[in-house]
Amino acid sequence: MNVSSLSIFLRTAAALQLAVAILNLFLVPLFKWKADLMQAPLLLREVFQVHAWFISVTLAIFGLLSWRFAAEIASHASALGGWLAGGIGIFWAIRTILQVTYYSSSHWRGQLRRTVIHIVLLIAYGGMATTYLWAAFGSTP
Amino acid sequence: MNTSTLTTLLQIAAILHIGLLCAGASMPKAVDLRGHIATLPPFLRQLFLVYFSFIALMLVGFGSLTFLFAHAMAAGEPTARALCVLMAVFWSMRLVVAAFIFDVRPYLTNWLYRVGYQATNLVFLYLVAVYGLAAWKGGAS
Repeated sequence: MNVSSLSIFLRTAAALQLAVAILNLFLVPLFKWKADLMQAPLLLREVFQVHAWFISVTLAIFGLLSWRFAAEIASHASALGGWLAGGIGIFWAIRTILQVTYYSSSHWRGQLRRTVIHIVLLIAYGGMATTYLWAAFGSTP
Repeated sequence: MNTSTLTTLLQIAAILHIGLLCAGASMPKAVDLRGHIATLPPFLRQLFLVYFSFIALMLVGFGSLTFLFAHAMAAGEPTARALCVLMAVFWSMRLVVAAFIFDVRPYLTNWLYRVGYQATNLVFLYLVAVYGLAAWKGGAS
């Protein structure tokens, strides 16, 4: 893959991460979890909410850095860019593995809408892992 | 401030991430996390643990990048400087959360937890200061 194509993939991954960062902020109202969360003590509810915010902030950091420095990362212009791509790639690779191995299939099996969401997420997470790991370890002409 | 001093301050910041990891690891026992999340539906319980694990992964990532690229950050290299700006924002937000959102007083049941909690807040403050300084002054001398 050449630098130009890899830059485009990195920018696509950046946009996707910014979208996931925003979406993640609205999971509780979207999936109507408020009543379930109310069963937990106040501190735990706050920890859950704050973790959700900081996952979003982290994804926004990944997205902004990837968007701004896509060309540098793709061309291996700096060592930090390569390490950053490697780190983000590992992050998404672990997330992809968890999507298959950790979350029970009972959450989506037999429900078309949830199955589609599961497959789309799997492709998106796997795609981002592949893009970043390629940027970190692949060769570019 | 010269680059060498700033590099050392950044490496200290990197090592402090290990302290934050230890603080995070002690949280489940301090707040009886296992008992509380048992009341949540399975998917929310799994999501909570995924958030928790990925925040820990981020601490490892931020700490490692800071330690390995402390000199690049102190020298004001563009990618490194952008990372410093975003990490300063990340830790500023965490400091605000600690100051204005969490009320952990009921859980600070012994002197170790009380000292640990205040030490954690000092670490947040240090990280904001050092990443902010690197973002502002990196490469200045």
